[in-house]
Amino acid sequence: MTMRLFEAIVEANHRATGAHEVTALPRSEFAESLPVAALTCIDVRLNPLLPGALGLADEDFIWLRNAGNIIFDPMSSMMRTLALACVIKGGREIAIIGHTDCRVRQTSMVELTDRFRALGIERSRLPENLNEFFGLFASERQNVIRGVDFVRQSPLIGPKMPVHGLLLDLQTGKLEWIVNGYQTLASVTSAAPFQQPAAKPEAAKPEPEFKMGEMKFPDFQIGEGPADAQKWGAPQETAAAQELHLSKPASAPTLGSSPMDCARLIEATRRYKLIGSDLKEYGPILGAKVLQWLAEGRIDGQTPAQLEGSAEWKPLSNLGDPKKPTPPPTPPPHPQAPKLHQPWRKKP
Amino acid sequence: MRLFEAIVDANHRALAGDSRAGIRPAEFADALPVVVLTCFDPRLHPLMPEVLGVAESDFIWITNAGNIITSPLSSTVRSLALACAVHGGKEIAVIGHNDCRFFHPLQHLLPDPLQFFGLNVEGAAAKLNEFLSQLVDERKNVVQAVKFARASPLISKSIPVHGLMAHTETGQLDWVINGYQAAPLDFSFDLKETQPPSTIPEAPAPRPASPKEKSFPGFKIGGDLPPIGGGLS
Repeated sequence: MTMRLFEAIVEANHRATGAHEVTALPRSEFAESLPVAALTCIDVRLNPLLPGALGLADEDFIWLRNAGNIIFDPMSSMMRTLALACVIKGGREIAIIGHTDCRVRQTSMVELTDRFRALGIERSRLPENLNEFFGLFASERQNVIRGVDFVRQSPLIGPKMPVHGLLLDLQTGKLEWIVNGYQTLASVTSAAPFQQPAAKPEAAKPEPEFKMGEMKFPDFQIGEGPADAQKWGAPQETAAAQELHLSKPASAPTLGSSPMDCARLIEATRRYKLIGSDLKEYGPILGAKVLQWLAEGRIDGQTPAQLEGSAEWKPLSNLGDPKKPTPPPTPPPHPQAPKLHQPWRKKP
Repeated sequence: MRLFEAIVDANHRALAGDSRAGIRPAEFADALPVVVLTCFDPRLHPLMPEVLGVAESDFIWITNAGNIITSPLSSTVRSLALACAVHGGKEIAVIGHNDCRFFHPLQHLLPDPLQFFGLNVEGAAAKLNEFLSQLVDERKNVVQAVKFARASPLISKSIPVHGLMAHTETGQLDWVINGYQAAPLDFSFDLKETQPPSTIPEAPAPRPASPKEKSFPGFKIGGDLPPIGGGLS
């Protein structure tokens, strides 16, 4: 069996660990999978290390960088950047590559507050919930898994795009493969998410399970507003939506209603009403927000939901629009798109 | 001369043929490391950070599509803020580049839909175009990014925020906004206000460039697009 791109990358990396020399991959063999869109942290130690660790030529990887390689939600601007890397730059596989010894992970809220104060920015000028706003995380590994999960859910990324999660050891240069995007793909595509959205749970996923219970969620205080970024960033949200009280703990989702399953039923641009576990009604809010709440574990497949315009309340996991079947995975060609010169499709 | 003035000066001297042009990082230890936001275009890999003359270890690199900042609280600004607070960045530079693909309407850039791995292209294109429509031209985009970064409550007023343009072929750097001389902000952003300012101030005239290269290549409207992902053949 021929190896696929990341199988070859990880294999070459493991062979080279110690000597710190990775032999460049024969790019003609992997032309179908290049370039790769890779999201990493901004840590300067990655500047000399990453290209060598992957063994890819400069022009074969699109390097996206933000602090902590964090993806906040399936519609965040980092997500849009990833999507553009694929549709405009021709990225054919996605990798979220965390690294060990991450300073964003090591920085506590108190330290962060002190550092901002040293720069002349008082606490009162910063958002209330720093953990949530900056996406501070407790585990580099979980942060990568969460990022991969958001990309997988995003309507901006094709369901057949391989999305990998890796962790780079800054000391040894060794790559650890946390989420194998090819395997996820096999289980996702066999579930035919677009035809039978709720039919198949994600339980068959072979890579490490997305464990909600283990993740570090922002600390909410019950009875207090969530003080999230939306309060400032998204004026279109209703006041009610901003007052979501989290009175249920983030718990492992039940089979068939995992966040990913439900997420497929939510259209980012439509509006929904929800009834929280505090029995209050929220919304109407945009589907994008529903996706975010799902991902954050504030709601789950059992949450009663209503599509705007409909009078019927259903559990989120049963929310389908009978009038409008979900689109098939492969849409017809865009009629206006002219034929373009595509150098990456060239065969040697 | 301060750090980025020295960088641009050395860059112009090097382009004019001075083989000894460069900066001495030790003289600018107070201004290092620098935080640089660029587009993720792979054509920039060979230029960054060599074109600035700073060491890899003094170069905190943030990339996104089209080096765009959409608001003073956008996730890119969060990264800029963490780059300063957590990684110790002392100055910020937003560096645009010529011939950026994101300044063409998306529908003209969609290659073969088969490439999209089953993506709902029309839905995604609508969303992405909404994002891209905020881009006017490369220089104005840099001006807007600098304004938003300077207006952000997350970025200290003590950190200079510069705007520059880099040429992917010649490596020439040109000022768009000199963060040391930047005039007081013509707007400020308050956490209580949710609506970011919509006006994009005019970019100041570029500093005289080196005799070799006077201006960036313009776009030929209706002309052939340059190959996507240049240099991949």
